Amino acid sequence: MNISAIFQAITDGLLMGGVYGLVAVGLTLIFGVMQIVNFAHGALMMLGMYVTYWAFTLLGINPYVSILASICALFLVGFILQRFFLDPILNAPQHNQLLLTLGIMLVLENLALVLWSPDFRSIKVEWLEQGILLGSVVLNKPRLLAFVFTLAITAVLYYVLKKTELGRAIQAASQEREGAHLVGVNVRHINGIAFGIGAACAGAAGSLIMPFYFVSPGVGHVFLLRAFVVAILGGLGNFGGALVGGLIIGLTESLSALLLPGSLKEMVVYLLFVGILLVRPTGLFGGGRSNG
Amino acid sequence: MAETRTLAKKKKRVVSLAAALLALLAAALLPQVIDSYYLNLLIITAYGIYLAQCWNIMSGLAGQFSFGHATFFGLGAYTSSLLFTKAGLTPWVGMFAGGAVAALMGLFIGFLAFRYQLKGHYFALATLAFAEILRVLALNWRFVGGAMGILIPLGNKPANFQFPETVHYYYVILVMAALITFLVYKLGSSKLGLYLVAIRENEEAAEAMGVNSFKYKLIAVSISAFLTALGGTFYAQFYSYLDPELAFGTAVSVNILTPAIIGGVGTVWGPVVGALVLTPIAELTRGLLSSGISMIVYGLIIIVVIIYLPEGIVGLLQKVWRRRIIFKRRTTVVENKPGVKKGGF
Amino acid sequence: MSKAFRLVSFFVSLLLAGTLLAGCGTKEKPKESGKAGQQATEIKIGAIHPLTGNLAYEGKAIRNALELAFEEVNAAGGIKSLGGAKLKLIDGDNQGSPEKAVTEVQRLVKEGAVILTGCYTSSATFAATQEAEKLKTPFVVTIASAPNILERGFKYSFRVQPNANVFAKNFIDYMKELVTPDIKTAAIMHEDTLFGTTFADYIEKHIGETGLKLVARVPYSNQSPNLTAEINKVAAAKPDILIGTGYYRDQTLMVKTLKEQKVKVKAIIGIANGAFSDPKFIDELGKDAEYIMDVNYCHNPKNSKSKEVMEKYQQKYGSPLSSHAVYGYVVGKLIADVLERAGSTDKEKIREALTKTNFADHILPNKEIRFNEAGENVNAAGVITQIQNGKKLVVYPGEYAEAKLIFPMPQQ
Repeated sequence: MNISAIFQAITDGLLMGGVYGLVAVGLTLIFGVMQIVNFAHGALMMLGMYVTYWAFTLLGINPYVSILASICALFLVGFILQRFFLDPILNAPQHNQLLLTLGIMLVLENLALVLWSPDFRSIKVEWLEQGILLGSVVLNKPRLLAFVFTLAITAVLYYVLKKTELGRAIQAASQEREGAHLVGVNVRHINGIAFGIGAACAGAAGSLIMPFYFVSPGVGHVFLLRAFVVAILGGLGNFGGALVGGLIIGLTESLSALLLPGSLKEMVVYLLFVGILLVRPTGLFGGGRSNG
Repeated sequence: MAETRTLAKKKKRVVSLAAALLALLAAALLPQVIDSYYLNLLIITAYGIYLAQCWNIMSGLAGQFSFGHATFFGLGAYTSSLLFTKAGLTPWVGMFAGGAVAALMGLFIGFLAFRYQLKGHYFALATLAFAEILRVLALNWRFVGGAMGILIPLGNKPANFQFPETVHYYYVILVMAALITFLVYKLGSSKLGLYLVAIRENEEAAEAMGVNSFKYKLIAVSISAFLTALGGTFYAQFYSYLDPELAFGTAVSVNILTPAIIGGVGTVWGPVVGALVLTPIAELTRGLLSSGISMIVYGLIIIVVIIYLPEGIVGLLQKVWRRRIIFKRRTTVVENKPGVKKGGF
Repeated sequence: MSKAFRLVSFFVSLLLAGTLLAGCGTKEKPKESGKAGQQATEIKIGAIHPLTGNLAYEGKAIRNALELAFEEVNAAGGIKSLGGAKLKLIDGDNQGSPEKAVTEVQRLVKEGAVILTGCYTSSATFAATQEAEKLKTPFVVTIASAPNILERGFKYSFRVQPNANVFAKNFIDYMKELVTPDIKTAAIMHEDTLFGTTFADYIEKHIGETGLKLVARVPYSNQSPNLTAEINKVAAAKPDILIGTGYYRDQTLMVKTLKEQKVKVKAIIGIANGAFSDPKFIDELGKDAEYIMDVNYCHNPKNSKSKEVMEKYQQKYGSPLSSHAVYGYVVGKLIADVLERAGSTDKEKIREALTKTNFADHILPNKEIRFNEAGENVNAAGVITQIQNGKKLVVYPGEYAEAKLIFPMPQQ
């Protein structure tokens, strides 16, 4: 094993980790505000991928421009989902919430199957094809771009949550539902918006993944479990943590794929996950409440 | 007054037991009049009831929400199948070995999780992670068949848990489902069951009253794990093929818990009703609609049930029933005479 | 608890009674098509494939090809020995799981299917063939490559496609003839479930016979969104040729990553590769797909009928005919031939006819289809295809080749 392969694995893991982070940011935001583990998150990401795919194929829109479209579309989808499906069960037992999000996943995936067939679809963008050579390390352009966009999106989100009126309302709602209600925050509305933002993050992640991956109705599964691991690692509800968690998982995965025999890399990720859960259930950087 | 009440209670118990036995008898006689298609559905239903009840013990009764029952299911299936194919040990014995392995695993997971105070979503995700770890391990471990899985050689010796007729499998799983339902019923009124419910409802209060919650939660997990593993053996013997995804996949866990939640978590009859309702729904939607649409409808039905029946179908029935009683009590002077069993619906 | 107990037990008995009634009351009529000697006007054939879930893409293609074959037969006057009876496809969706496959076998037989086909994944096919055996219903495997499916002494199961061992043996045999002295080492990258592992095991065991040395074996999960580290493992072993086996998504990702990481090999060869034989692979990779080879099943380019079928399929379903789907089509035509010879919709007679199959009017690059005792097609074999100038062409063995093999591939 030469040293350049290890460098390659490190860069590659970090780039991929950024994308995992973005998927997890949405997940963690939803959890932070509503205490719901959203199993439909992968399906929402899939919808974002289709938005970019169709925008590119039918209208020739650059995938990095269509991020905007998928953010808007998914925000709307998320808002509606929250209003009609999740709002009624916010105080239900968590197994109900889980099965509900699983049901939503089932519906969305099969809707995509009926509408767009089970074909694997991908987009081919000429200028993204060749990797960038940096010393002995090859950088994959779409992944690099995804990484940069992830940073930008998280920065914007951070600003919105910390510095704006809306952000403060969301934070208030996530910390103390009753209290927020008392001081005049429309919690129901805020929940809708928060879920919308979470879904929009998934959509944006989908758009960013599209140039280097495939979309099919079931593609969400590939990312969903990893996103959970990342979100837990960073501390559910803590989205700066989610981003760092993404990097850690990306790195772990890439290095263990290189260094371990067989396809054991998945196991390392889950072992890490269980370890973190046991030692620091609130994640590496602390998170919302530890007992969901 | 008190005497009449206990008498009435006793009478009620006899009636309910008789009704349950009658239902069981009907279920046992059904294969005489139906064809193999319906027989297969009955097996799937009974199998669904059995596994959902297993989940119900740990997650319904004791309130420790598991999202990784595939761990126990898979361990049971793998242990008995390996013992059978490699050592020739009959699965009738192997299933208990599998149960023991799964129970140990349950103790291990439970010990770690409760020791480190994992709760709620965190506990659920941890159980999911354990199932995934085992899946990847089974996939990469040659000795247990790796990706090839285990193909159980066919035979028809009942001594090897292999029957010449499908209907025999039905009787096996029906008995298993009936026994576990009875067990859950008994558990509900036992001391252990009361402790578990107390822990579920308010752990601190239970602790304060001197209930060792750590111990009782571990007991619940290991019972549930043991029984789930027996279901795994049944699966392996009935379908005679096993691979890591079929044993430890997330889909297994989801299939185990769905009937319990739809039927009513923590109730004796929830898993039974859930499986009885879901199997025909899945069958009807698949038979009548084209493939993608049937899954959409199935998903929508689940969503609607969750939103409108948050306590499951049995929860709804109980609510209706209670309201009736209250209504009765308000309007009539006659108390403790619920002679309404026929007019219930 | 007790009130509910009673209430619900009442409810349960009600439900059971309902099932019972439904069981005796309905669906009496499908039985008639199973009776011997009856002049059925419509013969039902059950097709059980994954139509939802993550394998739906492949399942749907096979199912469509079956449908196309039946339409052809029907347009040409149906089954003549049965008074021009028409073939009707009834769909089963196994969602990739054995439990669902068993249920679907039961349902389709109940709905009157006299022959079943399926199931694409080996795990579902294990269960489905076993259930069909119990119901004494002939089962023709469209695609499922695990050899041991037919090693269980079943009398009603038949398979047209070469099984995994046959493929892998083809590969070894072809390599024995093709390997030149300057090609010494090979690496194999395979997806880590039953499908990929079966091939990799066989090759690891037998590759010595070709004079090649296996320098790396890299399994990976087909759900992995990133294969860069795996490719670097391969690169570190510096193999002359890379052998790949897996599904569409992961093998396409593998080649993409290989090119991006600028790893140079003298040849890329797939075995029953889900990507290299799929026409979409060429669209997706453009010139990066050039010279990639695959030992796979394929249509016979020397047969003029092939082209016609491919055009029809493209026209009807809007996508090119994949190599899986070729088998769907061939199985469809085979079923028509079998029914014609059986002259009956009696399942026993159909089974008899299946065992006596000698069917040469197919579009495979093989000799006539004949089944041995176990139900395997004795003439099943893969060919080598290679992508040249944006087209997948059969290049080996010579009798079916439409172009000359270019091996090793020219280095740019």
